[in-house]
Amino acid sequence: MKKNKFVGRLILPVLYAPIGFFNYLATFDGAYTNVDLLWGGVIAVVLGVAIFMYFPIAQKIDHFSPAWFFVLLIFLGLLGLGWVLSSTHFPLPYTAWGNYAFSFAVLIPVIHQLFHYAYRCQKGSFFKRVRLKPTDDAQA
Amino acid sequence: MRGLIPICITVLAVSFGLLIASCNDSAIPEVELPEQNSLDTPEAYLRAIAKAQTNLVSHASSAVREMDEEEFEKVMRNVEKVIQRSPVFKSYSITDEDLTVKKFSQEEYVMQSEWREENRDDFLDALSPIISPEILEDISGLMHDFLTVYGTADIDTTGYRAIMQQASQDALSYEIGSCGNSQQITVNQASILPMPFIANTMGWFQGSQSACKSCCIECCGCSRGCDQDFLNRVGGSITNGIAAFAGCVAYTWWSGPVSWGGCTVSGLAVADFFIMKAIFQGIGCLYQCKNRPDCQQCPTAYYQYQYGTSCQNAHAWN
Repeated sequence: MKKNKFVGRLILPVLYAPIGFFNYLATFDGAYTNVDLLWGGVIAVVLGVAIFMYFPIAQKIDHFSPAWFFVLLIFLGLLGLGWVLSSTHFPLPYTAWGNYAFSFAVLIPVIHQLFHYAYRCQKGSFFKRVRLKPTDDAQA
Repeated sequence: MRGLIPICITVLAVSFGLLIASCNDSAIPEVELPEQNSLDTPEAYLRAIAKAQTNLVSHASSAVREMDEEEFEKVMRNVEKVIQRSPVFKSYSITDEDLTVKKFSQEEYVMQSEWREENRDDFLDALSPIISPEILEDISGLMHDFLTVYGTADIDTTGYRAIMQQASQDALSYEIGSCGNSQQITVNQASILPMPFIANTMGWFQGSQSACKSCCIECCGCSRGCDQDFLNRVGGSITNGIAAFAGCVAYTWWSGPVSWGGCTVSGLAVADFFIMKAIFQGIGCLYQCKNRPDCQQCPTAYYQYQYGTSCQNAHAWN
């Protein structure tokens, strides 16, 4: 099948951005308002765009580089914030946003790894680390 | 509308009174009401009404404190008898489902209004051992003036919420540190009439403040059973894991060799994060709610209440 990077980049935003949104809505147990729905949808769109834009960035980020730590920081920050907010002692909207943040945070490493190795990895193995295809320069 | 307000406040005040009376024997000072001419803003009215209600609570709590259980039961049974005559009451049955706040239809509202006007005296008579008619008159006058000047547009929600919150905080300020949650629960559970149901039947609260008063602060987050909550969360975790796996497979299928192993690990990792959270929250729930069936019986209304107000503020409702 012919690869189309633009279409490929669309898959994760389309599939992953709504996960947080659905978790957010599920927290309301049906008691959400139109405003909740609107804001949740807006954030889902923003996150979708952010995931789409992250594709070229993820490919540039080396392990343990400052950018890698920055992404790690965002991941841990959102994870912690989401965890705390989604505890039961907060009002429902906070809990819902906490679940939103937590859901997205959990997906950050997955998104990063998928984008980082996109189009570059050789056939993978469960027991071996991911090996990248040789670049055109290296082949030359 | 005019007749409705004092009775509504009365019902709520009684539950306040019960709580206060149950856990503190110290006298509650009466709050001085402001001069009529200082009531020049809606907020001033609300504050004045809140103060009047605090007085009502103070009076009710003193009265209840002096009663024994039998006397109190008698009063509440009399109130129940009056309420049961309401045509609307018959269309509601006391089940958990009905403890959620329902709005009256227009027809029910008219029916209830007519019944209320006709039975107002009976209702107040039944409550007279607890409720001071003078203070009630104060509240009624204030509410009437308030409605006359400012109309009825916002009073059902914002107005009441502000009134009740202020009043409950005022009442609580006399009680800080003296009222054990367990006592509150005992009293709430012992109530002959479920207060949420009354407020619901009366149809006055779009929100669910009165329902929430039946929940103790310790019950925050216990409105549903821990096991059910945990199972729901685990179900959600598995769904999230499957979604992450599916997204990963779809993406790798498009961008390179499908990484079944990698995607399985991704899906499991995502599910694991959520399951860990579910376990921690489940343990927290058990720790908080174990052996507290009273917590788990909190009406669904509490859930709705939680939507608008933080759990910390639930202190003020108890």
